[in-house]
Amino acid sequence: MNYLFEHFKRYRKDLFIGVTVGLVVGFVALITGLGLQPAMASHPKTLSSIADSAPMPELPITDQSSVEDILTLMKNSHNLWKTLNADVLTVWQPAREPQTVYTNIQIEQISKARLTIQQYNNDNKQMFDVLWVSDGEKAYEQDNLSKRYTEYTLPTFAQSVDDFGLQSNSSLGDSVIIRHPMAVLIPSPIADYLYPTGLMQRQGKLEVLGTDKVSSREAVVIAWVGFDEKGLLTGKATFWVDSYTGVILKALVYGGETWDDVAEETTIVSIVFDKEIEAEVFAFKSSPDFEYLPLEKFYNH
Amino acid sequence: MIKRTILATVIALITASVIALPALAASYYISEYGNDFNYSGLISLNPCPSGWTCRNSNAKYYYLRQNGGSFGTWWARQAGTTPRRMDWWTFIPNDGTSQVFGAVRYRIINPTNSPTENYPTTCNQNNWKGQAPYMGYLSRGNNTSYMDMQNYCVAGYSCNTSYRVFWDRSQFNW
Repeated sequence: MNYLFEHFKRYRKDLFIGVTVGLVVGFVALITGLGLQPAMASHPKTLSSIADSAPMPELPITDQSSVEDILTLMKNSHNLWKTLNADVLTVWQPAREPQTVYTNIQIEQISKARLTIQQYNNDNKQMFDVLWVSDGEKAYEQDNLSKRYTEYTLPTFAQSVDDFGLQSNSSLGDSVIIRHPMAVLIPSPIADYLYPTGLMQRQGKLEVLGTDKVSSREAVVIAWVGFDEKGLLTGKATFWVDSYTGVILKALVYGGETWDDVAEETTIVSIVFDKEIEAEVFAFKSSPDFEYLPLEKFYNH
Repeated sequence: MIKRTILATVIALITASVIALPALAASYYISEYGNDFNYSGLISLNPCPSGWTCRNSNAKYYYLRQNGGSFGTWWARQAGTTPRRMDWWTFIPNDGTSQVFGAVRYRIINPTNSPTENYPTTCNQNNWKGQAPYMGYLSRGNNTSYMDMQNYCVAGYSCNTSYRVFWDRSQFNW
Protein backbone atom coordinates (compact mmCIF):
# COMPACT_ATOMS: atom_id res chain seq x y z
CA MET A 1 0.00 0.00 0.00
CA ASN A 2 2.81 2.31 1.00
CA TYR A 3 4.56 1.44 -2.21
CA LEU A 4 1.51 2.37 -4.25
CA PHE A 5 1.12 5.60 -2.35
CA GLU A 6 4.73 6.52 -2.95
CA HIS A 7 4.50 5.50 -6.57
CA PHE A 8 1.47 7.63 -7.32
CA LYS A 9 2.91 10.51 -5.33
CA ARG A 10 5.85 10.39 -7.69
CA TYR A 11 3.87 9.73 -10.86
CA ARG A 12 0.62 11.62 -10.36
CA LYS A 13 0.04 11.46 -14.07
CA ASP A 14 -0.33 7.65 -13.84
CA LEU A 15 -3.04 8.00 -11.21
CA PHE A 16 -4.85 10.61 -13.28
CA ILE A 17 -4.69 8.43 -16.41
CA GLY A 18 -5.84 5.33 -14.47
CA VAL A 19 -8.83 7.10 -12.93
CA THR A 20 -9.79 8.77 -16.22
CA VAL A 21 -9.58 5.54 -18.20
CA GLY A 22 -11.52 3.73 -15.44
CA LEU A 23 -14.28 6.35 -15.53
CA VAL A 24 -14.54 6.12 -19.30
CA VAL A 25 -14.56 2.30 -19.30
CA GLY A 26 -17.09 2.19 -16.45
CA PHE A 27 -19.50 4.58 -18.13
CA VAL A 28 -19.11 2.90 -21.53
CA ALA A 29 -19.96 -0.41 -19.84
CA LEU A 30 -23.06 1.13 -18.27
CA ILE A 31 -24.21 2.83 -21.45
CA THR A 32 -23.66 -0.11 -23.76
CA GLY A 33 -24.89 -2.66 -21.23
CA LEU A 34 -21.92 -5.00 -21.60
CA GLY A 35 -23.40 -7.60 -19.29
CA LEU A 36 -24.56 -4.85 -16.99
CA GLN A 37 -28.09 -4.39 -18.18
CA PRO A 38 -29.51 -4.15 -14.67
CA ALA A 39 -27.97 -0.71 -14.34
CA MET A 40 -29.68 0.69 -17.39
CA ALA A 41 -32.74 1.85 -15.54
CA SER A 42 -31.65 2.19 -11.96
CA HIS A 43 -34.00 4.97 -10.90
CA PRO A 44 -36.42 4.04 -8.12
CA LYS A 45 -39.98 3.21 -9.12
CA THR A 46 -42.14 3.64 -6.06
CA LEU A 47 -45.77 4.37 -5.34
CA SER A 48 -44.99 7.99 -4.49
CA SER A 49 -42.76 8.58 -7.53
CA ILE A 50 -45.59 7.30 -9.72
CA ALA A 51 -48.16 9.48 -7.92
CA ASP A 52 -45.94 12.55 -8.16
CA SER A 53 -45.12 12.14 -11.85
CA ALA A 54 -47.73 14.77 -12.82
CA PRO A 55 -49.44 17.66 -11.01
CA MET A 56 -52.77 16.84 -9.41
CA PRO A 57 -55.78 18.07 -11.39
CA GLU A 58 -58.45 20.35 -10.02
CA LEU A 59 -61.25 18.39 -8.39
CA PRO A 60 -63.79 17.20 -9.18
CA ILE A 61 -62.83 15.70 -12.51
CA THR A 62 -65.52 15.86 -15.17
CA ASP A 63 -66.13 14.47 -18.63
CA GLN A 64 -64.21 17.52 -19.87
CA SER A 65 -61.09 16.51 -17.91
CA SER A 66 -58.13 15.28 -19.88
CA VAL A 67 -57.17 11.62 -19.87
CA GLU A 68 -53.88 12.61 -18.18
CA ASP A 69 -55.73 14.36 -15.34
CA ILE A 70 -57.96 11.34 -14.77
CA LEU A 71 -54.92 9.06 -14.72
CA THR A 72 -53.10 11.31 -12.27
CA LEU A 73 -56.12 11.38 -9.94
CA MET A 74 -56.34 7.59 -9.99
CA LYS A 75 -52.61 7.20 -9.29
CA ASN A 76 -53.03 9.54 -6.29
CA SER A 77 -56.34 8.11 -5.15
CA HIS A 78 -54.98 6.45 -1.99
CA ASN A 79 -53.81 9.88 -0.74
CA LEU A 80 -57.30 11.38 -0.94
CA TRP A 81 -59.13 9.40 1.72
CA LYS A 82 -58.32 8.07 5.19
CA THR A 83 -61.09 5.57 5.88
CA LEU A 84 -63.84 3.92 3.91
CA ASN A 85 -66.71 1.54 4.49
CA ALA A 86 -68.24 -0.07 1.41
CA ASP A 87 -70.66 -2.78 0.36
CA VAL A 88 -69.78 -4.28 -2.98
CA LEU A 89 -71.51 -6.66 -5.39
CA THR A 90 -69.44 -8.64 -7.90
CA VAL A 91 -70.89 -10.93 -10.54
CA TRP A 92 -68.46 -13.11 -12.46
CA GLN A 93 -69.50 -14.25 -15.94
CA PRO A 94 -72.99 -12.70 -15.60
CA ALA A 95 -74.18 -14.15 -18.93
CA ARG A 96 -73.21 -17.77 -18.26
CA GLU A 97 -73.10 -19.66 -14.95
CA PRO A 98 -72.71 -16.50 -12.88
CA GLN A 99 -70.94 -16.49 -9.53
CA THR A 100 -72.04 -13.75 -7.15
CA VAL A 101 -69.87 -12.22 -4.43
CA TYR A 102 -71.07 -9.95 -1.64
CA THR A 103 -68.26 -8.06 0.07
CA ASN A 104 -68.23 -5.61 2.93
CA ILE A 105 -64.92 -3.82 3.35
CA GLN A 106 -63.74 -1.34 5.94
CA ILE A 107 -60.32 0.27 5.72
CA GLU A 108 -58.35 2.67 7.87
CA GLN A 109 -55.21 3.66 6.05
CA ILE A 110 -52.47 2.62 5.97
CA SER A 111 -52.96 -1.00 6.79
CA LYS A 112 -56.01 -1.70 8.95
CA ALA A 113 -58.78 -3.50 7.12
CA ARG A 114 -61.67 -5.86 7.64
CA LEU A 115 -63.61 -7.61 4.92
CA THR A 116 -66.26 -10.28 4.70
CA ILE A 117 -66.65 -12.25 1.48
CA GLN A 118 -69.65 -14.40 0.67
CA GLN A 119 -69.64 -16.12 -2.70
CA TYR A 120 -72.38 -18.18 -4.38
CA ASN A 121 -72.43 -20.20 -7.58
CA ASN A 122 -75.21 -20.14 -10.18
CA ASP A 123 -77.21 -22.72 -8.16
CA ASN A 124 -77.06 -20.34 -5.21
CA LYS A 125 -74.79 -22.76 -3.37
CA GLN A 126 -72.34 -21.00 -1.08
CA MET A 127 -68.77 -21.39 -2.33
CA PHE A 128 -66.92 -19.18 0.15
CA ASP A 129 -67.63 -17.43 3.44
CA VAL A 130 -64.46 -15.69 4.52
CA LEU A 131 -63.46 -13.06 7.06
CA TRP A 132 -60.13 -11.26 6.61
CA VAL A 133 -58.88 -8.80 9.20
CA SER A 134 -55.71 -6.77 9.41
CA ASP A 135 -55.05 -4.96 12.69
CA GLY A 136 -52.08 -3.13 11.20
CA GLU A 137 -49.50 -5.61 12.47
CA LYS A 138 -51.01 -9.02 11.85
CA ALA A 139 -53.51 -10.35 9.35
CA TYR A 140 -56.07 -13.07 10.07
CA GLU A 141 -58.12 -15.09 7.65
CA GLN A 142 -61.05 -17.18 8.78
CA ASP A 143 -62.91 -19.72 6.63
CA ASN A 144 -66.40 -19.86 8.12
CA LEU A 145 -67.38 -22.93 6.07
CA SER A 146 -64.53 -25.18 7.19
CA LYS A 147 -64.26 -23.45 10.58
CA ARG A 148 -60.55 -22.81 10.33
CA TYR A 149 -58.42 -19.72 10.59
CA THR A 150 -54.84 -18.63 10.16
CA GLU A 151 -52.72 -15.62 10.99
CA TYR A 152 -49.48 -14.08 9.76
CA THR A 153 -47.41 -11.00 10.40
CA LEU A 154 -47.91 -8.25 7.84
CA PRO A 155 -44.79 -7.55 5.82
CA THR A 156 -42.89 -4.41 6.80
CA PHE A 157 -43.89 -2.64 3.60
CA ALA A 158 -47.50 -2.46 4.82
CA GLN A 159 -46.30 0.47 6.95
CA SER A 160 -44.30 2.37 4.34
CA VAL A 161 -46.54 3.07 1.41
CA ASP A 162 -44.54 5.89 -0.17
CA ASP A 163 -41.37 3.82 -0.55
CA PHE A 164 -43.21 0.73 -1.75
CA GLY A 165 -41.73 -0.38 -5.03
CA LEU A 166 -38.42 -0.97 -6.71
CA GLN A 167 -35.38 0.83 -5.39
CA SER A 168 -33.82 0.30 -8.80
CA ASN A 169 -36.06 -0.56 -11.69
CA SER A 170 -35.89 -3.80 -13.63
CA SER A 171 -33.91 -3.76 -16.79
CA LEU A 172 -34.71 -7.29 -17.86
CA GLY A 173 -37.32 -6.05 -20.27
CA ASP A 174 -40.19 -5.62 -17.84
CA SER A 175 -42.00 -2.48 -16.95
CA VAL A 176 -42.96 -3.47 -13.44
CA ILE A 177 -46.40 -2.48 -12.15
CA ILE A 178 -46.39 -1.19 -8.59
CA ARG A 179 -49.77 -1.94 -7.05
CA HIS A 180 -50.64 -0.35 -3.71
CA PRO A 181 -49.32 -2.63 -0.92
CA MET A 182 -52.83 -3.13 0.44
CA ALA A 183 -54.09 -4.01 -3.04
CA VAL A 184 -51.43 -6.74 -3.01
CA LEU A 185 -52.33 -7.96 0.49
CA ILE A 186 -56.13 -7.64 0.66
CA PRO A 187 -57.51 -10.87 -0.85
CA SER A 188 -60.27 -9.34 -2.94
CA PRO A 189 -60.68 -8.01 -6.49
CA ILE A 190 -62.14 -4.86 -4.96
CA ALA A 191 -58.75 -3.89 -3.56
CA ASP A 192 -57.44 -2.87 -6.99
CA TYR A 193 -60.56 -0.70 -7.47
CA LEU A 194 -60.14 1.02 -4.10
CA TYR A 195 -56.42 1.49 -4.82
CA PRO A 196 -56.49 1.95 -8.61
CA THR A 197 -52.87 3.08 -9.11
CA GLY A 198 -51.72 -0.38 -10.25
CA LEU A 199 -54.49 -0.87 -12.79
CA MET A 200 -53.81 2.55 -14.29
CA GLN A 201 -50.09 1.87 -14.74
CA ARG A 202 -50.93 -0.76 -17.34
CA GLN A 203 -50.07 0.12 -20.90
CA GLY A 204 -53.20 1.07 -22.78
CA LYS A 205 -55.57 3.71 -24.10
CA LEU A 206 -58.23 5.62 -22.20
CA GLU A 207 -61.30 7.30 -23.55
CA VAL A 208 -63.76 9.44 -21.60
CA LEU A 209 -67.32 8.25 -22.24
CA GLY A 210 -69.33 10.64 -20.03
CA THR A 211 -70.62 10.99 -16.49
CA ASP A 212 -72.91 8.92 -14.30
CA LYS A 213 -73.85 8.38 -10.66
CA VAL A 214 -72.89 5.29 -8.68
CA SER A 215 -73.93 4.86 -5.07
CA SER A 216 -75.03 8.53 -5.03
CA ARG A 217 -71.55 9.68 -6.06
CA GLU A 218 -70.58 11.54 -9.22
CA ALA A 219 -68.48 9.42 -11.54
CA VAL A 220 -66.66 9.88 -14.82
CA VAL A 221 -67.04 6.88 -17.10
CA ILE A 222 -63.92 5.79 -18.97
CA ALA A 223 -63.15 3.01 -21.42
CA TRP A 224 -59.77 1.30 -21.12
CA VAL A 225 -58.15 -0.92 -23.73
CA GLY A 226 -54.80 -2.48 -22.87
CA PHE A 227 -51.86 -3.38 -25.09
CA ASP A 228 -48.58 -5.06 -24.31
CA GLU A 229 -45.13 -4.23 -25.64
CA LYS A 230 -45.86 -6.13 -28.86
CA GLY A 231 -49.13 -4.24 -29.36
CA LEU A 232 -51.22 -7.31 -28.51
CA LEU A 233 -54.51 -6.73 -26.71
CA THR A 234 -54.24 -7.45 -22.97
CA GLY A 235 -57.67 -6.43 -21.72
CA LYS A 236 -60.72 -4.27 -22.08
CA ALA A 237 -62.77 -2.58 -19.34
CA THR A 238 -65.16 0.25 -18.53
CA PHE A 239 -64.61 2.05 -15.24
CA TRP A 240 -66.83 4.48 -13.31
CA VAL A 241 -64.30 6.73 -11.55
CA ASP A 242 -65.27 8.72 -8.43
CA SER A 243 -64.89 12.39 -9.35
CA TYR A 244 -63.29 13.40 -6.04
CA THR A 245 -61.23 10.38 -4.98
CA GLY A 246 -60.39 8.47 -8.17
CA VAL A 247 -61.71 5.25 -6.62
CA ILE A 248 -63.33 2.91 -9.17
CA LEU A 249 -66.99 2.73 -8.13
CA LYS A 250 -68.05 0.33 -10.84
CA ALA A 251 -66.17 -1.88 -13.29
CA LEU A 252 -67.10 -3.93 -16.29
CA VAL A 253 -64.24 -6.18 -17.34
CA TYR A 254 -64.60 -7.85 -20.71
CA GLY A 255 -63.37 -11.26 -21.82
CA GLY A 256 -64.46 -14.85 -22.32
CA GLU A 257 -65.32 -16.23 -25.72
CA THR A 258 -65.08 -12.74 -27.23
CA TRP A 259 -63.98 -9.30 -26.10
CA ASP A 260 -67.66 -8.28 -26.00
CA ASP A 261 -68.51 -10.78 -23.24
CA VAL A 262 -68.58 -9.44 -19.69
CA ALA A 263 -66.23 -11.47 -17.49
CA GLU A 264 -66.80 -9.42 -14.35
CA GLU A 265 -69.20 -6.75 -13.17
CA THR A 266 -68.35 -5.10 -9.86
CA THR A 267 -70.45 -2.33 -8.32
CA ILE A 268 -69.93 -0.48 -5.07
CA VAL A 269 -73.51 -0.30 -3.86
CA SER A 270 -72.73 1.91 -0.87
CA ILE A 271 -69.61 3.74 0.22
CA VAL A 272 -68.76 6.20 2.98
CA PHE A 273 -65.40 7.96 3.07
CA ASP A 274 -63.59 9.36 6.08
CA LYS A 275 -66.00 8.44 8.81
CA GLU A 276 -64.27 7.24 11.96
CA ILE A 277 -64.24 3.45 12.31
CA GLU A 278 -64.27 1.97 15.80
CA ALA A 279 -61.00 0.29 16.80
CA GLU A 280 -62.70 -3.01 17.64
CA VAL A 281 -63.63 -3.49 13.97
CA PHE A 282 -59.98 -4.29 13.28
CA ALA A 283 -59.54 -6.61 16.26
CA PHE A 284 -59.76 -10.30 15.41
CA LYS A 285 -61.23 -12.82 17.82
CA SER A 286 -61.48 -16.42 16.70
CA SER A 287 -64.51 -18.47 17.62
CA PRO A 288 -63.70 -21.20 20.19
CA ASP A 289 -64.79 -24.05 17.89
CA PHE A 290 -62.58 -22.86 15.01
CA GLU A 291 -59.28 -24.63 14.35
CA TYR A 292 -56.05 -22.70 13.90
CA LEU A 293 -53.85 -23.75 10.98
CA PRO A 294 -50.47 -22.38 9.97
CA LEU A 295 -50.51 -20.41 6.73
CA GLU A 296 -49.07 -23.10 4.45
CA LYS A 297 -51.67 -25.64 5.60
CA PHE A 298 -54.56 -23.19 5.58
CA TYR A 299 -54.32 -22.55 1.85
CA ASN A 300 -53.67 -26.16 0.81
CA HIS A 301 -57.24 -27.23 0.34
CA MET B 1 7.49 1.71 -17.88
CA ILE B 2 5.73 -1.68 -17.77
CA LYS B 3 5.29 -1.37 -14.02
CA ARG B 4 3.76 2.09 -14.42
CA THR B 5 1.37 0.83 -17.10
CA ILE B 6 0.29 -2.08 -14.92
CA LEU B 7 -0.38 0.16 -11.92
CA ALA B 8 -2.35 2.65 -14.00
CA THR B 9 -4.37 -0.24 -15.42
CA VAL B 10 -5.12 -1.52 -11.91
CA ILE B 11 -6.38 1.94 -10.93
CA ALA B 12 -8.48 2.03 -14.12
CA LEU B 13 -10.04 -1.38 -13.32
CA ILE B 14 -10.79 -0.40 -9.73
CA THR B 15 -12.43 2.84 -10.88
CA ALA B 16 -14.49 1.07 -13.55
CA SER B 17 -15.60 -1.57 -11.04
CA VAL B 18 -16.73 1.05 -8.53
CA ILE B 19 -19.04 2.43 -11.21
CA ALA B 20 -20.24 -0.83 -12.67
CA LEU B 21 -20.47 -3.29 -9.74
CA PRO B 22 -23.46 -1.72 -7.97
CA ALA B 23 -25.33 -2.18 -11.22
CA LEU B 24 -24.63 -5.90 -11.17
CA ALA B 25 -26.42 -6.14 -7.85
CA ALA B 26 -29.69 -5.02 -9.37
CA SER B 27 -32.18 -7.39 -10.95
CA TYR B 28 -32.08 -11.05 -11.87
CA TYR B 29 -34.45 -13.77 -12.93
CA ILE B 30 -34.61 -17.40 -11.99
CA SER B 31 -34.00 -19.80 -14.84
CA GLU B 32 -36.84 -22.28 -15.15
CA TYR B 33 -34.37 -24.97 -16.15
CA GLY B 34 -32.08 -24.71 -13.13
CA ASN B 35 -32.05 -26.11 -9.61
CA ASP B 36 -33.66 -23.00 -8.21
CA PHE B 37 -36.94 -23.62 -10.01
CA ASN B 38 -39.30 -26.41 -9.04
CA TYR B 39 -42.92 -27.41 -9.29
CA SER B 40 -45.30 -30.16 -8.33
CA GLY B 41 -48.46 -31.46 -9.99
CA LEU B 42 -49.27 -32.12 -13.62
CA ILE B 43 -48.03 -28.78 -14.78
CA SER B 44 -47.79 -28.24 -18.52
CA LEU B 45 -44.74 -26.72 -20.12
CA ASN B 46 -45.58 -25.23 -23.49
CA PRO B 47 -43.59 -23.39 -26.13
CA CYS B 48 -44.69 -19.77 -26.40
CA PRO B 49 -46.81 -19.65 -29.59
CA SER B 50 -46.45 -16.86 -32.08
CA GLY B 51 -48.98 -14.18 -31.25
CA TRP B 52 -48.17 -14.46 -27.55
CA THR B 53 -45.94 -12.34 -25.37
CA CYS B 54 -43.92 -14.45 -22.94
CA ARG B 55 -40.76 -14.12 -20.87
CA ASN B 56 -38.66 -17.12 -19.92
CA SER B 57 -36.37 -16.00 -22.76
CA ASN B 58 -39.56 -15.84 -24.86
CA ALA B 59 -39.45 -19.60 -25.23
CA LYS B 60 -41.73 -21.42 -22.80
CA TYR B 61 -44.38 -20.97 -20.17
CA TYR B 62 -45.91 -23.20 -17.51
CA TYR B 63 -49.62 -23.48 -16.83
CA LEU B 64 -52.27 -25.43 -14.98
CA ARG B 65 -56.04 -25.32 -14.96
CA GLN B 66 -57.50 -23.50 -11.99
CA ASN B 67 -58.69 -25.93 -9.31
CA GLY B 68 -58.83 -28.59 -12.01
CA GLY B 69 -58.35 -31.54 -9.68
CA SER B 70 -54.62 -31.58 -10.35
CA PHE B 71 -53.27 -29.20 -7.81
CA GLY B 72 -49.82 -27.86 -8.22
CA THR B 73 -47.37 -25.40 -6.86
CA TRP B 74 -44.44 -23.63 -8.36
CA TRP B 75 -41.58 -22.18 -6.45
CA ALA B 76 -38.48 -20.27 -7.31
CA ARG B 77 -35.54 -19.58 -5.09
CA GLN B 78 -32.69 -17.19 -5.52
CA ALA B 79 -29.05 -17.90 -4.86
CA GLY B 80 -27.64 -15.10 -2.72
CA THR B 81 -26.39 -15.64 0.79
CA THR B 82 -26.21 -12.30 2.57
CA PRO B 83 -29.60 -11.43 4.10
CA ARG B 84 -30.90 -8.26 2.55
CA ARG B 85 -33.91 -6.71 0.89
CA MET B 86 -35.25 -8.79 -1.97
CA ASP B 87 -37.92 -7.36 -4.28
CA TRP B 88 -40.12 -9.87 -6.09
CA TRP B 89 -42.20 -9.56 -9.20
CA THR B 90 -43.48 -11.91 -11.86
CA PHE B 91 -44.42 -11.79 -15.51
CA ILE B 92 -47.86 -12.94 -16.67
CA PRO B 93 -47.79 -14.06 -20.31
CA ASN B 94 -50.25 -12.58 -22.77
CA ASP B 95 -52.03 -14.95 -25.11
CA GLY B 96 -53.41 -12.06 -27.17
CA THR B 97 -56.98 -13.42 -26.89
CA SER B 98 -60.08 -12.69 -24.82
CA GLN B 99 -59.61 -15.94 -22.84
CA VAL B 100 -59.97 -15.26 -19.09
CA PHE B 101 -57.06 -16.19 -16.82
CA GLY B 102 -57.64 -17.23 -13.21
CA ALA B 103 -56.78 -15.49 -9.96
CA VAL B 104 -54.02 -17.01 -7.85
CA ARG B 105 -52.27 -16.61 -4.57
CA TYR B 106 -48.52 -16.09 -4.46
CA ARG B 107 -46.57 -16.44 -1.23
CA ILE B 108 -43.28 -14.68 -0.55
CA ILE B 109 -41.25 -16.44 2.09
CA ASN B 110 -38.07 -16.00 4.08
CA PRO B 111 -38.16 -19.08 6.31
CA THR B 112 -34.82 -18.84 8.08
CA ASN B 113 -33.63 -15.31 8.71
CA SER B 114 -34.79 -13.50 11.78
CA PRO B 115 -37.41 -12.20 11.65
CA THR B 116 -38.90 -14.84 9.35
CA GLU B 117 -41.35 -13.53 6.78
CA ASN B 118 -44.19 -15.37 5.10
CA TYR B 119 -47.00 -13.45 3.51
CA PRO B 120 -49.61 -14.28 0.85
CA THR B 121 -50.50 -11.93 -1.99
CA THR B 122 -53.44 -12.15 -4.35
CA CYS B 123 -53.12 -11.63 -8.06
CA ASN B 124 -55.92 -11.82 -10.60
CA GLN B 125 -53.79 -12.86 -13.58
CA ASN B 126 -56.53 -11.70 -15.91
CA ASN B 127 -55.74 -8.09 -14.94
CA TRP B 128 -52.05 -8.41 -15.69
CA LYS B 129 -51.72 -10.13 -19.06
CA GLY B 130 -48.41 -9.09 -20.59
CA GLN B 131 -47.48 -7.16 -17.42
CA ALA B 132 -45.09 -7.69 -14.54
CA PRO B 133 -46.90 -6.99 -11.25
CA TYR B 134 -44.75 -6.31 -8.19
CA MET B 135 -45.35 -8.65 -5.25
CA GLY B 136 -43.53 -6.75 -2.52
CA TYR B 137 -40.29 -7.57 -0.81
CA LEU B 138 -38.60 -9.57 1.89
CA SER B 139 -36.60 -7.33 4.17
CA ARG B 140 -34.07 -10.10 4.92
CA GLY B 141 -34.08 -12.48 1.98
CA ASN B 142 -31.31 -15.01 1.37
CA ASN B 143 -30.73 -18.33 -0.39
CA THR B 144 -33.57 -20.05 1.40
CA SER B 145 -36.10 -17.40 0.39
CA TYR B 146 -38.60 -18.11 -2.32
CA MET B 147 -41.83 -17.21 -4.03
CA ASP B 148 -44.46 -19.83 -4.75
CA MET B 149 -47.83 -19.93 -6.45
CA GLN B 150 -50.78 -22.32 -6.31
CA ASN B 151 -53.66 -22.96 -8.68
CA TYR B 152 -56.30 -23.16 -5.94
CA CYS B 153 -59.34 -20.93 -6.32
CA VAL B 154 -59.22 -17.72 -4.30
CA ALA B 155 -62.33 -16.55 -2.42
CA GLY B 156 -63.95 -13.51 -4.01
CA TYR B 157 -62.70 -14.30 -7.52
CA SER B 158 -64.28 -16.33 -10.26
CA CYS B 159 -63.54 -20.02 -9.80
CA ASN B 160 -63.62 -22.02 -13.00
CA THR B 161 -61.78 -25.17 -14.01
CA SER B 162 -61.53 -23.89 -17.58
CA TYR B 163 -59.39 -20.95 -16.49
CA ARG B 164 -55.68 -21.31 -16.93
CA VAL B 165 -53.10 -19.94 -14.50
CA PHE B 166 -49.52 -19.28 -15.54
CA TRP B 167 -46.00 -19.19 -14.28
CA ASP B 168 -43.70 -17.59 -16.78
CA ARG B 169 -40.75 -15.92 -15.12
CA SER B 170 -40.08 -14.69 -11.61
CA GLN B 171 -37.58 -11.98 -10.96
CA PHE B 172 -36.03 -10.28 -8.01
CA ASN B 173 -33.82 -7.37 -7.17
CA TRP B 174 -30.86 -8.29 -5.04
